[in-house]
Amino acid sequence: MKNLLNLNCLFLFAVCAFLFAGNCIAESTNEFPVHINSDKLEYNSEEKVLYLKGNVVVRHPEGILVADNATVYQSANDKDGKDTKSKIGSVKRIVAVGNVRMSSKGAIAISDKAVWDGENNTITLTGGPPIAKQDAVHTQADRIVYDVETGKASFYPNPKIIIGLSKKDKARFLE
Amino acid sequence: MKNHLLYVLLILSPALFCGISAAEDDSDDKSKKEIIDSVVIQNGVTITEIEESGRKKYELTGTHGESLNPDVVRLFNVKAVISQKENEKVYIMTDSADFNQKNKEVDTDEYVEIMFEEGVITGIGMKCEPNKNTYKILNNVKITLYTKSSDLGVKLPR
Repeated sequence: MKNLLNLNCLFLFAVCAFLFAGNCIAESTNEFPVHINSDKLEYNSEEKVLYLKGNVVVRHPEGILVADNATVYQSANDKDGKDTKSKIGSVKRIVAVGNVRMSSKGAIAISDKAVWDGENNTITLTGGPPIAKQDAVHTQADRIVYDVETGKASFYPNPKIIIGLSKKDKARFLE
Repeated sequence: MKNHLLYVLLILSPALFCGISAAEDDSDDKSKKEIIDSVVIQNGVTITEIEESGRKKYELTGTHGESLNPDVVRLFNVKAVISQKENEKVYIMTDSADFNQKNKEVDTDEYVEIMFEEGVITGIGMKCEPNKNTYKILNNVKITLYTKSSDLGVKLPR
């Protein structure tokens, strides 16, 4: 029986050690890397620009952005070799175009174009016109600016609350 | 048994000789490049382009290789290092890749990993122009972007 207890203790110790080691690895690497999937890519490593074509999905703990095509501008290093103030990995800016759908903190929005600004951590939706859904309320405006950190969105100009969406828009929200 | 083999060789030798002499006749019409249709290179292949300043632009290494035609060499188990501005480097790893020495392009249909300062790109199939620092991934692109090179969770090949 004692042997069994000792074995259990050893096992627990091993699990703790493994978990602790895992934490150390997590600390040494970036906590929130940006994961991007697409069909095709063109990358210029000196200009630090990624051109993504077809079924683009950008995943970040703060949210998900889906679009037909996107261009990712990586942050340039300053003179000291430090990154500029991007808050989403090394990404400075993402411009997504075509059937854009973004979701963050329970809110979903659709538009033709979205620009994710890494320095301000805001997403500006235009074209379509953009429509945002929070709970059961659909709001439309010519431009929607969403602050990823605070979770607040501003609708300007021509804000409207929509009752009854078109079938196409409904389908896009349900995707 | 030995006699049988001897007979077979004796019968085949004129045929082989005819074949060789026929190939020699054709060589008058063809250039040397066309006759040598494949050369296998073993025990490590390295292709390097060096700038006038002495800086390596890029270096492709393979465990072995073969020439597909006078312009294209296929390398196997490829590791490539491409130099960028400010001493940054891009590393490429793939099972095989074709290097075209005419237009200095690297092509592959295989799974490819591109590792750079800020992240990792993987995909299937690649067209790369190391001189222009451009890379095209043709299918199934997956990108992970990190904040700093020190945060890169992968060990870069040396």
